[in-house]
Amino acid sequence: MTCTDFRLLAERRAAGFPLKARQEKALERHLAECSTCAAVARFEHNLAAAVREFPAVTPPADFADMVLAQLPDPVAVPEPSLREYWWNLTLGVLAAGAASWALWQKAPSWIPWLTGEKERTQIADILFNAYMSMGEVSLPTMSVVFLALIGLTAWGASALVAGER
Amino acid sequence: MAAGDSELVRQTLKGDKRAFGVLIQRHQDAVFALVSRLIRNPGDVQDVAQDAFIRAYRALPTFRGDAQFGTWLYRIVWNTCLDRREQHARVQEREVQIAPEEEDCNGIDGFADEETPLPDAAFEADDVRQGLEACLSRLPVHYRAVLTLYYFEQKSYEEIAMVLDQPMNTIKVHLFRAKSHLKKALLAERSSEEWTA
Repeated sequence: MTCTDFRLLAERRAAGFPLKARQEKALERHLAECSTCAAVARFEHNLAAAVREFPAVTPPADFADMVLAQLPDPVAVPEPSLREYWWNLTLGVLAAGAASWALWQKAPSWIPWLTGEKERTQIADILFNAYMSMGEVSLPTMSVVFLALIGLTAWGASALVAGER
Repeated sequence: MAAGDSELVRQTLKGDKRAFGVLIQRHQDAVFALVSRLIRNPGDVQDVAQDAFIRAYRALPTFRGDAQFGTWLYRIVWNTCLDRREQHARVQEREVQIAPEEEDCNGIDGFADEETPLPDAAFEADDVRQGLEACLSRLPVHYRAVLTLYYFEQKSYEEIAMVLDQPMNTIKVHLFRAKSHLKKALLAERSSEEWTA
């Protein structure tokens, strides 16, 4: 470690950030040997103390009540409209569908589990088996339906949460 | 177990003002400490703190929980302090004159810049603390903010950048320069003492 590193450690220690035991030991050893860094550490210590001990106004006992008395009516949380939900859902499903279709068509090499029969992971196998069992339905269509179901579930959950509020 | 800040925010948003009262009590000491170090007139501290809490209450629906509530609140406190300073802009302030800030902050890391003049032996003395306090109050507000958030509130560079809405490198530069100015101011003060002694 260089003097620069030790000065940073001294700064952090003065500010109250805990050092690892190993760093603390190394710093102490260095400060005992290097008078310049020891002076920096001393300055850091004094500076931190001066900042902490800077005279501050203390809040009056009834400060919270004083603020509460001035607060406007309860803040209203804007509820997302039903229209907004459907719009987001539609966009989400369209985007997810397009992404699935593009992935299936291109199967880029940077996604190893989509590139070859042997490398397929469990997720890919599940999708493939589901596709086989659905006969005429293409995988992109199935993916869209699948994602739409997830989207609808998420929408239902968010509507429930919004209802709770 | 006491409710966390996020839970209190949620209760406040449901219309429970008492929950916000708990938040005030929890953070009022830190807010007063910060404002006291940023506003020169102690008579204004309570007003600014009050104003900041009211602003925070109004802005509560925008609190997303990405940062800690304290960090989010400090940002509001900081902006409230800046607004108050603007209101008092006509009052002449004896601030240390600072050279225009450089945008390129590469290579500066806290106190660790090799170009920084090393502290004089005079900075080691214990009585230097009093001098530092006096010099601190004369530093520009941005420097005082960085020093307070780092040394008093123990905020990381990243958190300070979030509070002051500035890049992290700028925060490092401010910390570095604040210390340089304090050293210069201390030296000047000591020379003047020796001169008048």
